[in-house]
Amino acid sequence: MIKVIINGENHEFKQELTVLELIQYFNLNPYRIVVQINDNDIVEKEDFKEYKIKDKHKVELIKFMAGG
Amino acid sequence: MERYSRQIILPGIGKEGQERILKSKVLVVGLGGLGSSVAYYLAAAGIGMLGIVDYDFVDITNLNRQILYKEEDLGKSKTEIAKDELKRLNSEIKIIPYHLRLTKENIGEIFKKYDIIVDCSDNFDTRYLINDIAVLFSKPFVHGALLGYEGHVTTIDVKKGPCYRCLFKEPPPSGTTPCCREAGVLGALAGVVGSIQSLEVFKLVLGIGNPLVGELLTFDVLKSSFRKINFIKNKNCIACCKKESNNLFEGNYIDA
Repeated sequence: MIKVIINGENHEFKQELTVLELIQYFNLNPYRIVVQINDNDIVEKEDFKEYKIKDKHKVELIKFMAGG
Repeated sequence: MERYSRQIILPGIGKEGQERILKSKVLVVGLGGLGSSVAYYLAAAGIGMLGIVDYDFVDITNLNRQILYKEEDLGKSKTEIAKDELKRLNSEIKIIPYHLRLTKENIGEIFKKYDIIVDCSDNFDTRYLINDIAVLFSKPFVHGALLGYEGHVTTIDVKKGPCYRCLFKEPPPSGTTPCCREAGVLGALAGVVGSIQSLEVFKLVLGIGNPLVGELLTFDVLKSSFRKINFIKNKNCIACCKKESNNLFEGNYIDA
């Protein structure tokens, strides 16, 4: 069981999951999202399939937006 | 100065602060939903020289949110109408219209004349161009953006913090992220985000408060929630941390 914070809200998952799995869990398009871990680390797109979300991670799924 | 009396009495402003506002030069890029709010509030407060950039003409679909325009303005140039409206609001300030699309070729000459840029544009090409030229000139800009029921604001000042590319490294592939035409937008959200952008400009001009440097403020209409996401300079950033040259980054935006 891991406990993480996603966009400011607490979530639990049975086990660690990859960034890509997390994005899919929230029905988001990986091309439209920037993923930040623990305020400092931006996960590169090519690493989405490998990067593991772990217990106590703070994750931001930030949408690209250009509307004005 | 009587017209500014209600802001002059605020702590941190005073007559000296108002003089700073009157001497400041701000460029608003985009006169759509965001730009309408920003231009109105900057003009009302007395920004002395207000540049306004847009290449577009008023369309009926603009009227749900682009409050600079009215039904009688359909088909007219946005910069022309905006200039007239802003001058009616405040005849004491200088309004400089630029009826054009910003490109690598013209952006430098325009930006040089201004202290602060406000990004109210509606496409990634322009947004990344604004970031890269602002980095090159070390000028601050206030970014604002909309998508559906959500909005973003951040202030980029590379002398003090990260640039836009430190967080959003490159634009998403073409066609993946909708604009207002495709995703929709409520006018009032543009008002909220544009108003916050305006307030960021005043904080920069007056040197008060904490501008959103290194912070992305997100607003969710449906949850009525504001959140701040911290972000830091990326030491490998292709715009603000590159080692070479004074040339505008040959990035992946096109000459529109």
